[in-house]
Amino acid sequence: MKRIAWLAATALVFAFAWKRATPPIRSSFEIETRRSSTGSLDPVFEQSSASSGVTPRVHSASAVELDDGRIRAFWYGGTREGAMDVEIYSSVLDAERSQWSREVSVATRSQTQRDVGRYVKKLGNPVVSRDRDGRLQLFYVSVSVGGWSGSSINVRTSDDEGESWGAARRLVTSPFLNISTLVRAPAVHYTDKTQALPVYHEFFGKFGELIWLSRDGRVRDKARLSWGQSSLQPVVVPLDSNHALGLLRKSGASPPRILAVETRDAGKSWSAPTPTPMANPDAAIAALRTSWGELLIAFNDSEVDRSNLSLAVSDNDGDSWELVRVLDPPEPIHDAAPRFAYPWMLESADGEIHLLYTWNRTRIVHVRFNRQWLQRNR
Amino acid sequence: MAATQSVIGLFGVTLLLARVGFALGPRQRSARFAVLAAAVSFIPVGGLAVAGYVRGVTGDLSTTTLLLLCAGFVGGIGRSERLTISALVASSALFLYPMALGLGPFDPYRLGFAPQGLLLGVLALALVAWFRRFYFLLACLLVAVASHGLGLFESTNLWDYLLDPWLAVVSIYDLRSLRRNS
Repeated sequence: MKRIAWLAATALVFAFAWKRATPPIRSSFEIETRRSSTGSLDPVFEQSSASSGVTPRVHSASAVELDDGRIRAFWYGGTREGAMDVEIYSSVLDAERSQWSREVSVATRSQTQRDVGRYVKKLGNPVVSRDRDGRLQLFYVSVSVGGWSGSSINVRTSDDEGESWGAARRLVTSPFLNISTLVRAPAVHYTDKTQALPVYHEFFGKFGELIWLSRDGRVRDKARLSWGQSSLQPVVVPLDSNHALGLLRKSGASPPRILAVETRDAGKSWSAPTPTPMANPDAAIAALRTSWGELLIAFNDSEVDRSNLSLAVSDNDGDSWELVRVLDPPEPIHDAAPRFAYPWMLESADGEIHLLYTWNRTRIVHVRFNRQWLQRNR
Repeated sequence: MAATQSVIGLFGVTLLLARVGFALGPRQRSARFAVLAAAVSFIPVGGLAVAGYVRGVTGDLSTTTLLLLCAGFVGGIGRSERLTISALVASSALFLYPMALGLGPFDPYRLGFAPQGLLLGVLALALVAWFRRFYFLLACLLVAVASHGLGLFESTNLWDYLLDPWLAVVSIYDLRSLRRNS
């Protein structure tokens, strides 16, 4: 009788689990329909500072366009990278695109540890995404033990364009104490209204992954973009419903080149990383597909340091690239070489490109330009 | 649901501390030590309970670990079944963790997200456990699978319900001790 009861319990539990099991990913990339630009037909290029010096050190900007066309940026700031006083800050660029608001804190260490019910030692990279139900989702890194290799990802959701945020939740993305997953690049969206987040590991290995999230923000699958010790911070650009290009920061052994991977099945499997012609001094890159169909990347065009920030354009989905060097130091920075880092790009509904990046770890610089400016500088 | 998941995670730490108190206390007072250790886990320090600090280090414990901790209070399980559980956990851990952390292009952790294939493997194990009358092992598998189906933990991955790194370390140690004493 006891044996029969155990067997019946086994059948019931597995039948229940089978019914509840998440189905495999079948969706394809959402490709935005081309918009006709409503912006200026003259070249536009403006540079400003999104941060206003509330914290001495700032890093790792991310941004999203709000419902009313304003741009909301996020970054982390504190006395230094990894300090316990680091918080996630946010600022909004006004509708006339002339003035950034003074930054306000939107996530702190103490709030995060209260929300997730565990000790949090420090905060790191934020990434903002608008899910296809209209909410803003703020993903950000936290560490409980050790350095950045001990990172995990938290998410807060806002229903009011970033004015207020719900409690943080942790995403569980690794079986080993859920450590070693960091976020840096924009999410990619799918036709079933879900999204996937490019992430990377920095523990035993350095490699990129794509994490699929359900509409309620739970992890439902993952795929490896690369493996080994030398690639991280992937950025993924969908080219058609199943085809996407992934670009990765190169770390370690030469050649110091941006690495490229490709998927033909909407991200479920990826080709082996191959070096592109573009230099990479072990630094983050940003990439997007413009509404006029070109690929645009922002990167440090150097094999040794981050002393220039450049743009490159491809009109053939990444087969070849044309370099457009755009950014020189806005002003001398002490005696040290300037360091431009962690670029983030988005195209707003009016067709302008917004580029944010870290300027010598002291400022988040915002550059906006349009297609006409880009063409004039090619 | 997030609050429930957090409470369950913290409960796991409380259970762990209680079990440690139970093991370290004198034989006649082990129950008192267990209760005392459990009570310590609730003490707030700097706005966070002690269990929250421990959880920051340990992460969430698998349901298998939680059941083994509970079994430890009532005298444990038979040697043969314990050896089988340790062998299963150790071999699963050696398969899972190195590759999930980046050794090679294959990521076995992925099998636990849309876990139809993994469920079939666990079902096969469950039937073997039933056949061998290893009912504690069978209970571990059923509780893990049911908890995953109910989404009781923060994790959506079945692997995290079946095992955790601490259980893996204890299992490998256990396996060596049990083999040495056989």
